[in-house]
Amino acid sequence: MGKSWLLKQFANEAAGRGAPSVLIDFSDGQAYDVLTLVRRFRDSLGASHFNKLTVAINEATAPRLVISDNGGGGTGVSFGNSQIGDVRIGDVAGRNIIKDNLFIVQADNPLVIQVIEDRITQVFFECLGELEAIGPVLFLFDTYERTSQFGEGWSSNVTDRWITRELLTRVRDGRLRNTVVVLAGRRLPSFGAEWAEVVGMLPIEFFTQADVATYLRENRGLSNLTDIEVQTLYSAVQGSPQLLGIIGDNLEQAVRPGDDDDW
Amino acid sequence: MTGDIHSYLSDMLSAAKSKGGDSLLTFNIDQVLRSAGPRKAEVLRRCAIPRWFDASILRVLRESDESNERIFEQMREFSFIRDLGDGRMAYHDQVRQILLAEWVEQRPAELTQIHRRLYSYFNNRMTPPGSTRRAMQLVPESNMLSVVPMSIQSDMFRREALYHLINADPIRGMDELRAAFKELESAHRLADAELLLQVAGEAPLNSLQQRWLQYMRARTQQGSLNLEVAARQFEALRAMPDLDPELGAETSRSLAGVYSETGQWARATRLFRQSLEYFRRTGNQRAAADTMLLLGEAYQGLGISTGSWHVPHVPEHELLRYMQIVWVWLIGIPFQIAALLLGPHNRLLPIPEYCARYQNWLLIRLYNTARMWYAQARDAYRRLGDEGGMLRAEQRVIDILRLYGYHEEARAQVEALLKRKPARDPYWRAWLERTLAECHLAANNIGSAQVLLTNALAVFREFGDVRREATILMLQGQAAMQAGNIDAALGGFAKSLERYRTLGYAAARERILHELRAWKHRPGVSEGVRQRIASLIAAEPEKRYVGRFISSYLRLLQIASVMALPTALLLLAVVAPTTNIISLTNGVLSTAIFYDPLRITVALALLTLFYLGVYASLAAAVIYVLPISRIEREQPDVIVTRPDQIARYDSMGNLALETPWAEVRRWLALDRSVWDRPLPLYSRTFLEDAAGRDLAIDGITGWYGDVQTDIAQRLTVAGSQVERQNLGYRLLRSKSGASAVTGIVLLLLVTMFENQWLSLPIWFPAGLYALVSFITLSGVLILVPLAYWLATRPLKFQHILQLNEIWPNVLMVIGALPVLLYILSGGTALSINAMNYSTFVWGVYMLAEAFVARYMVALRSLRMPIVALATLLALLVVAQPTYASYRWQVSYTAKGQVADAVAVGAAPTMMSEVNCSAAADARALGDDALSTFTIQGDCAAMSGNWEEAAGYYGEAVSSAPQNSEEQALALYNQWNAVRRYDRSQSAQILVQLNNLCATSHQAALACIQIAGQLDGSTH
Repeated sequence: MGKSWLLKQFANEAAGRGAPSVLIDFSDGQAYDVLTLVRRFRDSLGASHFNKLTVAINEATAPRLVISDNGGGGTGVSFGNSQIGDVRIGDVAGRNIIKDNLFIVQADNPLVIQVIEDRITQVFFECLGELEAIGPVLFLFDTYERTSQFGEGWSSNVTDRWITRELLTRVRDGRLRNTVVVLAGRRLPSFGAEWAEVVGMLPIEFFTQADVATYLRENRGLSNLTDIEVQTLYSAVQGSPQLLGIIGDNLEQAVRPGDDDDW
Repeated sequence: MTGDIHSYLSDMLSAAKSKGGDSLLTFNIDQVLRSAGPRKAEVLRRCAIPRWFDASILRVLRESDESNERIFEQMREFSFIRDLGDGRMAYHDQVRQILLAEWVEQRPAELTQIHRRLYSYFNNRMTPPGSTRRAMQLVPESNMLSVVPMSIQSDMFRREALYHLINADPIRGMDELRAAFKELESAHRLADAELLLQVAGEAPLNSLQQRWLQYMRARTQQGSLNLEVAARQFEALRAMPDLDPELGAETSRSLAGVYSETGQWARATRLFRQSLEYFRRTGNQRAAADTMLLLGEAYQGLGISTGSWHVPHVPEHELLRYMQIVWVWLIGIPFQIAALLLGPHNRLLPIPEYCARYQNWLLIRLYNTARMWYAQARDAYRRLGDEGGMLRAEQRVIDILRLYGYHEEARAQVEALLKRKPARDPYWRAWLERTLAECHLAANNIGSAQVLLTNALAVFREFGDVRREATILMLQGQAAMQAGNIDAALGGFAKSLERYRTLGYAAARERILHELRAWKHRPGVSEGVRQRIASLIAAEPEKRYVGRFISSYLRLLQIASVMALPTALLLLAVVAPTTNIISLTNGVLSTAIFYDPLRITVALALLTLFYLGVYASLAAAVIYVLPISRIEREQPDVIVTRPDQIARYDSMGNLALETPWAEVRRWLALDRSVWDRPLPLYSRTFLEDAAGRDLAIDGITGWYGDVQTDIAQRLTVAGSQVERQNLGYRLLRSKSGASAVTGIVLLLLVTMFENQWLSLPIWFPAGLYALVSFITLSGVLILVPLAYWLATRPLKFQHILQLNEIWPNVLMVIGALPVLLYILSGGTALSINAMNYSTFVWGVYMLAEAFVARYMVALRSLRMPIVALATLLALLVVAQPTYASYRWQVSYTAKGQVADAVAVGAAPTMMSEVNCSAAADARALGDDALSTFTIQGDCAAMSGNWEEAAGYYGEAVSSAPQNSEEQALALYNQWNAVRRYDRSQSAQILVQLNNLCATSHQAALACIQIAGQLDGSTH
C-alpha cells in the first residue's frame, strides 16, 4: 500500500520481465560505504556480470607490495601475490563467479581510500555498462531519508553522495541509458534544474474507499464490516496506510483474540 | 461485532476531535494494547525499546527463554512491525516513538533497566569470547593501509550497544561513542562512523551531548573532504556561547585542520594555538603533541604559500652578474657573521645568500616558527615514547634544514632516521627517501636522486597516495631539468601540475609553477625552452601570487632605502669639505676648500656600515623580534588569476576584491626601474574596473613580471582591448636619470678642480665655471630628479587612481627636514652654501606637493599654481644669498686663475682682476666680509698691488674673530704686503701677529704654518 510495498511491486515486476534489479532499504541498520554498496548491487544484479569488480575489490584488499631494503639506499619494490584470508587474487569458484575477499579497507589517509573507491567505482560502472547493454537494470532505494545525516534539512552521507555523484549523475549525463533508479522516502534531496529531464516525481496517491474495503475485508478477514463502517473508517484514516493497518490490527484482534498466556 | 465496531469507531472519532495530530494513531495503539491482554501488551511495549529486535532480543526483553521464537513469529501479524530481513523486525518509527514516550512518562526507571540489559546483551554479542577481528596490513610493517574482515553483525551490535548505553548512562555512553567514533574515523570508515552518529542521535541527548554529536558529524564531513560543509558546521559550533572547553578545543583544532587543507594558514595557526593552550592546560599530552606538529605544518604551509626562496633576476652580462654577486655578498656580511657566531651545529638561519634578500625574511620567520613547533612536538613525542611521532617531527625539522641550504647535514640526518624502527614502514621510508632525494638534488647528485624517486613513486602509487605521487613526479621533473633532459622535465612538471589541479592542492601547484618560472628566467636557457615553459605556465587555469613582505615593514624598508642617497649626499656635504692653508706666490698664504678623499672614503664606508646595520636590524626584527601574531596579522595579500577573473584575498583568505577580466577598464602601472626591470619595493600595478575599484598588485609580489604577462594573456583571451599604461619611470634611462648621472659626474669633476688635481685654464671664464660649480655643488641636478621620482610622479599616479595612501605624509616629513634645518641654522647648516639654498627650495617644493595631495585632493587643478607659488617664494627667499654666493664663487675662481698665471710668470688677465672684484659684490649682497676681503687681498697681493692688498687684509683683520686662525692669517698677509713699502708699520704688525700666536690656542696650527713662511721670508 505504501512506498515500500510499491518498491516491492516494482522489483517483482522487473523479476517477471527478467530485468535485473536491486532493492535496498536503508532502514535495515547497515552502513553502506562504496564497497558495501557495490557488493550489494553485484550480488543482487548477478555476480557473474561483475567478475571484474570482484577482481578489483580483491586487488584492493589483498597485499600488493613486498618491500625490501637492498642496502643501496633505495627501496626494492616487488609485487606480491601472497594470500590473505581464503582467497588468492584470480581465484575462481563455480567456473564463472569469482569469490570476494570480504574485507573492509582501512587507511590513515582519506585520499588513499578515495583512490581505492574511485578505482572500484570505475570498474563497477564498466560492468554495469555491459549489463545494461543486455537489458534494463533497476535500482530501488527505500527509506532514502536515512541517507541524510540530520532529520532536518538534507546533509548527505557517504551513501547518498555516491548514489548522487556516481550513479545518478551517470544516468543524467546519458552514460547509463538503460538504467532506472527509484528513490523512495519521506524526504529526498533536492534536484536542481539540470536534473529536470531525467527526474520524475511519483507521489503515492491516497487509497480509495474501495481500497479500504478490500484491505479490511479481504486482507484482514473482516468480511462483516458494513459499507457505512467502511466509509467511516475511510474518512478517519485520511489516506494513512499505517493507521489503516493498525485499525485493521485492532479490529482483527477484537474478532480473533489470542491467548494472552502464550505471551 | 457490529456493536463493538460501532463503539470503537465512536471512541476513535471523538479521540480525533479532542486531540488531533497523531491522536488517531495513539488511540489505535492504545486500543491494540488494551485488547491484547496484559502479558502481550507488555511484550509489545518492551519491543519498542530496541531499535529492532529478533528472537534473541525478545528473550532479553521478556526475561524468559521460552516461546520466544513462536511469539516472534506471531508478532509478524501486526501491521506496525516491519520485517528487516535477517530474522530482524522493527516497529514503524511513529509507533515506536509513541510507545517510547509512554515509557519515559510512566516507567522511566524500568526503561533504564531494560536499556542496561540490552546494552549488556549487544555488548556481549559484539565481542563474543575468543573472537578476533584484527586489522591485517596490506603492506608488511605498514599501518597505512589495512583490511578488516567484514562483519556486518558485529558493527551493527556495536551501534546498538552504544545506543542503549547512551540511554542508560549518557555520560559513559558518550565517552564510548567518542572512542568508537575516533576508531572508525582514524581508519576512515566513514559510512560506519556516520551511521553510528545517526543511531546515537536517536537517543535523548542533552545540549552538551548534542553539540558533541554535531562536532562528530562535522568531522565526518571533514573526513569525506567536504571541507566547506565541515567548516560551516565547525564555525557554527564555535559561535555557540558557553561551549564546553574540551569541545571548543577539539572544534578549534578540527576547524584549523580544514583551514590548513584549504590553504587558509593564518586562520589555522590561530585556532591551533587556541586548542593547544587547552590541551596543555589539561595535561592532554598526546593531543598537545599532535597539535604542535599540525601547528608547525601550518606555519610551514604559510611559508610555502608565500613562495619559495626569492629568485633574483640574473643579468646576462657577465660584469653585471659579478656586480650582483658582490652586492649580495656585501649585504650578506652581517648574516655571514651571525652564521660564524652560531657555529655549524646551530643552523638557526638559512645560508647567508638567502638571508641577504629581504624578500626571504618573512619566509625565514615562518620556517623558524614551524621548526620551533616541530622541535617541541618531537620532544613531546619523545616523552610519550612515540617513535613514529618523533620520526614525523624529526623529518620535518630536517626538511627545514635542507630548505635552509644545508643539504649535506640534512642528508646525514635523514640517513640516520632511515635506520630507526618506524622507518621500516615502506610508506614512511619512501617519504624519507623523498627528503634524501631532495638533498641529492641540491648537491647535484642527480643519479642517486632519480633512483630514490623511482622507488618512492612505485610505493606511493601502490598505496594510492596521489598527493605524494604528485610530489614525486614534480621532483622527477626537477631532476630531469637538472640533468638537462628537457622533455622529461616538462613532462614530469605537467603531470604533477595536472594531479595537483585535480586534488585542488594549490600550494603544491604553486611550488611547481615557481620551479618553472625560476627555470625560465635562468640565464643560458634557450628561447625555445623558454617558450615551452611559458606555454606550460600559461596553460595553468589558476595562478596565485603572494607578496613577500609584511606590510608595515615594507613601508619602513621603502623609506629607509629612499633616504639612502640623500643621506649620503648630505653626509658628504658636511664631512668632505675642509679648509686648508696654502702658500701662493709672493709669500701669500691663503685658504682653500679641499674635498678630502680620505674623509669621503671613510664617510662612505661608515655610511655603508650604518646601512648594513640598519638592514640587518630590520632582518632581525622580522625574523626574531616581531611577535608572530603580528607577522600573521600582516601577512601579505594573495592575488589569484583565473580564466574569468582576477581576485585579491587578504591573509585570512577573505575575498577583498574580484574583477572579471571583461570588466577591466584600465591597467595602470607605476613601475620604477633602474634600467628596465621594475624595482620590487617601488613598483605597483592597478587594475581598475567599471565601478572605479582598483585592484592593486604590489611590486613586492612574487613573480611580479610574470603577473603582468599573465594579465596580458588573460585580457587577450577575454577579448579585452585594455592595454598596460606605465606611468612609472626609469631611473637611468630617462631625462631625470641623465640629469642625476650628469650631476654626479660634474660633482667628481668640480671636486677635482677644487682640490686642484685639475687646473682650470686661465682663459676659462670664471663666471661660467662658477655657475657650473655652483649648480653642481648645490646638488640641483640630483635633487630635481629626486623630487620628480619621490613626489611629482607618485602623487600624480595617486591622484589618477584616487588612492588614499600615506605617501603624502611621508613626503611632508622629508620636505620639512631641510626647511627646518635652513630656518634653524640661518642657512648655514651645510658648509657648502649652495646646498643650503637648494635643499631649502627642494624641501618647500616637496612640502607644497605633499600638502596639495594631502589636503586639497578635490582642488587638484590648483596644484600647479600652489606648488609654483611656494617654490617661487622659496626661490625669492634664497635669491639674494644665492647670488652673493655665486659672486663669491666667481671671485674665488678668479683668485685661483690669478695664482695660476703668476705661478707660471704670466701677468693676470684683466678679466681675472675684474672677476676678483666680484667678491665686493658678494660682500655687498651680504656675504661674509672676512672671506671676500681676503680674496680681494689675495688677488691684489699676487698681482703686486701691495698697498691695495694691505688695505683689504687690514679689513680682513678687522672682520675676523678675535684671536682666530683667520685673524692670524690676515695679519700675516697684511704684514707681507706692508713690508714691501713700510718696514716700521710691518714691524708693528709683526708684533701684533707674534702676540696673537703667543696667546691664542685657536690659531696655533695657522701660526705654525705662518712661522715657517716668516722664516722663509726673513732668510
